[in-house]
Amino acid sequence: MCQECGCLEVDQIKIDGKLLSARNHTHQHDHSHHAENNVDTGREISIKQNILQKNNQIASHNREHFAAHHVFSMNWISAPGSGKTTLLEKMIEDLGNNLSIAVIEGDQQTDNDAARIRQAGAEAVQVNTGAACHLDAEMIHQALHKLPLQKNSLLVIENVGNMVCPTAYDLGEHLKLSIISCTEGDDKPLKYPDLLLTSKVLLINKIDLLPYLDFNVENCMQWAKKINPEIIIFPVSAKTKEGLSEFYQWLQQNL
Amino acid sequence: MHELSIMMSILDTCQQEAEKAGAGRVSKIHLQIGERSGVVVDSLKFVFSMATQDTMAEGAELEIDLIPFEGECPHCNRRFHASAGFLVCDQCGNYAKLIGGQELNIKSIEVED
Repeated sequence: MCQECGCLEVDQIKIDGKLLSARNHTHQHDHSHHAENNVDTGREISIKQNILQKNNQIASHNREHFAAHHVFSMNWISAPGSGKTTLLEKMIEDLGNNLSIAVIEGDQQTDNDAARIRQAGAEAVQVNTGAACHLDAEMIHQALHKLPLQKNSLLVIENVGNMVCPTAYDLGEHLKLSIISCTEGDDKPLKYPDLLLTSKVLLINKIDLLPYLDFNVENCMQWAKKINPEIIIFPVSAKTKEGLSEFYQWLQQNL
Repeated sequence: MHELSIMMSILDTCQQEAEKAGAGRVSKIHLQIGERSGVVVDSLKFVFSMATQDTMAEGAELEIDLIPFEGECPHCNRRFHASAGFLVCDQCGNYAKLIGGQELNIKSIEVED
C-alpha cells in the first residue's frame, strides 16, 4: 500500500492477528473493448478508468454484502486520539441493548481497540495495516469474513488515525463520518478539507474541554459548512455524553 | 502521502492494457486528477520515474490534466471555480453543489511495439 511511508508489504496486514495472504493484484475484469482499433506503433489506447477501480470494485462487492444483510455501515475517519474508540464504547453502552453493533478496527499495530470494543459488548475484528496509513476495500472484505453480521445491524469501520489517505478509499460504506476533537484546533476543517468534503457527518468531540481551550465551535462549524454545505454536524462529548442523544437520534433515523 | 501506491495502481492498469494490446512499451500515460482528489500532482510526478524503473513504462511521458474544483450555485445557477476551497457561490454567497474536482482517472496511454 503506502510505499511512500515505507509499506506496501501486503504480508504485514493482519486480520485479528493472522497474516493476510498475498493479495491478488491482477484485474479480473475485461477491457478488451478498449484496444479494438489500435495496431500501429505509437498508438493511443483509451482507458477512461478510475485509478482506484480495483478498490472500488471490491467496495461495490462489500456494499452488496451490506445491502443483503440490511447492515448500515459507517467509515469513521479522524486524527489519532480524537476519541473514536471512546465514542464507540459509549455508543455500544447506550444503544447496544436495542441495536446490534459490530466494529472493524483499523490500526497499524495492536488489537487494543478491538479488545476495548469487545469489552464494551460488541463484535469486533482488528485489522492491522502494518505500515499502511489507511484501510482499503480488500481489507474490509477479508475482515467481513471474520465478522458475523446480524440483520438490521450497524457496522462501524474505525479507520486508521489519519485525516488524509483514508478519504480517497471507498470501503463500500454508506457514509464517511469525520471526527475533530476540540484539542486539535477549530481550523482543522481548513487544514484537512478533503476529509470534510467526503464526509456526510462531522462530530466535534471533547466539547467538555471547551472551558479550558480556545476552540471556537461556531468557527469550526462554519468552515466545515463552507467546505461541504451538506455536512451534518454534531458537537459532542464522549466523556459527559453531551450532544450524543442528538447524534443517536439522527443515526436511528438513517438506519 | 499515498501517491506512490496510487502510482503503482496506475502502472498496474497501464501495463495490463498495453499487454492486452500486444505492445512492448508504454510511451505516455495521460491522467485526469481532480484538484480535490486528495492526490498531490507534484508528488505523483515525483514518484513517477522511480515507480516506472524497470517496467514497460520506463522513460514514458506523464501528462496530467488537473480538473478544477468547481461548484454550481442552486440559487443563481452560476458555475464557478472554488479556488479558495469553499463551496460558496462567489456571486451570491449561497452554498453551492460540488460538480467537479474529485476525479482520479486514467484517460489513455500511448504504446509502442
